[in-house]
Amino acid sequence: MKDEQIIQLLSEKIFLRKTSTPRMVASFVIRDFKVWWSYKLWTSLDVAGTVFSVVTYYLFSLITTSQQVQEAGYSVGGYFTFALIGIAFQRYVSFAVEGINDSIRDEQWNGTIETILSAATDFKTFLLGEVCFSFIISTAFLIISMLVGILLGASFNITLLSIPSAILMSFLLISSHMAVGVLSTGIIMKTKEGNPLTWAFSWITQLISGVFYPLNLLPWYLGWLGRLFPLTYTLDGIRLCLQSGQTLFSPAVISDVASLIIFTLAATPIALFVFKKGYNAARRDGSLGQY
Amino acid sequence: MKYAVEAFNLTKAFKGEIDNGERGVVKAVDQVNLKVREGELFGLLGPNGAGKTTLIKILCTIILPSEGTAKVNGYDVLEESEKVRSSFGWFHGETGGRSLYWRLSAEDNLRFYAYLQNVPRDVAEKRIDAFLEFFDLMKDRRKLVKDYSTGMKVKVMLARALLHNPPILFMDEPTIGLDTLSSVETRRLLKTLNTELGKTIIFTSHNMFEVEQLCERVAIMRSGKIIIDSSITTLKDTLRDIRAIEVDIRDSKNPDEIIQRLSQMPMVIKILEIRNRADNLFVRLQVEDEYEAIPQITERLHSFGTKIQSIRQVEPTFEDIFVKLTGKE
Repeated sequence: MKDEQIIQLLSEKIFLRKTSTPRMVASFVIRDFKVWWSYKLWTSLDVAGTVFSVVTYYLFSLITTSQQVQEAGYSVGGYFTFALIGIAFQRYVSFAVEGINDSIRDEQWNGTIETILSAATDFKTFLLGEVCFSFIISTAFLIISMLVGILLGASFNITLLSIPSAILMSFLLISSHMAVGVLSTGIIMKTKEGNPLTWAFSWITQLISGVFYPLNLLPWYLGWLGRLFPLTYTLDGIRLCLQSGQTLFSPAVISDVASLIIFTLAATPIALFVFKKGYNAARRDGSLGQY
Repeated sequence: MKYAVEAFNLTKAFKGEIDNGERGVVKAVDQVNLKVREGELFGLLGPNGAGKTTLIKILCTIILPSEGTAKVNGYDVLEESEKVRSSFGWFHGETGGRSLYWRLSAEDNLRFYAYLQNVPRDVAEKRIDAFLEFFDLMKDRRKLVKDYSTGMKVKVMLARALLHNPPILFMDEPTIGLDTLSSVETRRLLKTLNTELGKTIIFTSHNMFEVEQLCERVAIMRSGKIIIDSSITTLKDTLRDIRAIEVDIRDSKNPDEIIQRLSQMPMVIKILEIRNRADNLFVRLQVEDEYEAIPQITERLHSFGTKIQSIRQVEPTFEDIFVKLTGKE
């Protein structure tokens, strides 16, 4: 009797239509949210860590002066606002760079990657689906950081156009850094070793991209080196928008935006190429499911 | 004639450890040629490490072959991998339930997979209900999979493989971890899907009797090669023909003499295997009639003071079948 029900159900003619990309991505997001929410302690610690980090820099700002921040061109908010933007967006970058890597590693760790990659989902939708929740959650943490900062007295110099300008800079931050994440994941798929590229990216950008101090404090060669990283342009652009009231129409911000677009356009095809190579190398080695 | 699965000189070589501990090239799949008709229930047998799972993974586009190619549902696994992936459902029992999201419920696992396989939402919900009902998981549908037993996880994986109603099913050890009743029900469902809906099923197992009950044709793999491709009738006849017993002997001071005496007995057709370690001798013999052979061998060995630890009738091994069918050692 039970068999007959299954046979009857599967005999019904249905029209299989490709699930739309937004619907497919939404199903990845729902899946990841449910998994994330099931780790309640970890979720609470994540939120607490974000708040503590902002409070730490608030206390640190009490023993610093605003002079050097203002000399660097960021007129309002002093060191606390400067550091708040730095740490909030640096964390955002970490998610962008490491999010895809972590998602795919989790799939390998859980033993689910072979099942997903044997389904009828195209490769780009799979990648997009894997990273989407990381961005949503990192955006939430960015907002939490900024709200905690505002409660602790961070001040901004904003105009009607400077907020959309900062949001656009954030999108450029994500797109430029996602390329780095995809590229490093492609390498890891083949090598199965650590994550040197994303590690270097996180720590080097902290040192020379102006996360905690203005670039004019660095020796000229480190400042020049910092100009090779997209985070440097993003932080500069966002600070100009939020601390100095500049907009997309200001020459300094236009220059930052142009640099980010060039980086994104150059890095994305390379990253996708390397990822595809790494993926096929793992299929050749039979190691797709290994970590 | 239309074929659901075709393999042409399919080879997969990995760099790995070879027998003597040195690194070298291991051929997990070696020049495999195979044709499975549409609607056929095909058994792929072989011991662990024979290459069955690697072959299935190549057909599922998860592993790229080193040489040769294959077609699934008429699509080339190298050139048309997306179309291939829409054509099959895959159950991989080797994972023991690891291929599910343990932090999601059974229904969430199935719902996510249904979207990946382009099943419309209303159809997916109906099918999820039906499969959960079929596998007796309805009352646990919202429980996280991490709290499921292995058997329950296997059932969710089976439902997942069938959810999008594909024409071809790769069932890699589908009854692994299931209790006897669930195994019987699963085999019956697969048989019904084959006969009623014309599904092509490639069923891998290391259990000959399971394949014998279910399949029409069977291939046996060993060291990456298909060594036998025959009808199930031939396999059944072979299994009936091979009657084997195993004897464990303690304190065997003179193993050569024991083996010589055994091989001289009229009902012993052949000594199939001998292992001698620390005065413990293990012998596997092919005999004419196991029920007559067991008391006669026991009596014979006792008569010259040999201590028998155990003597029993056993199922023939893949090696025995290979030797019997091909005449090669």
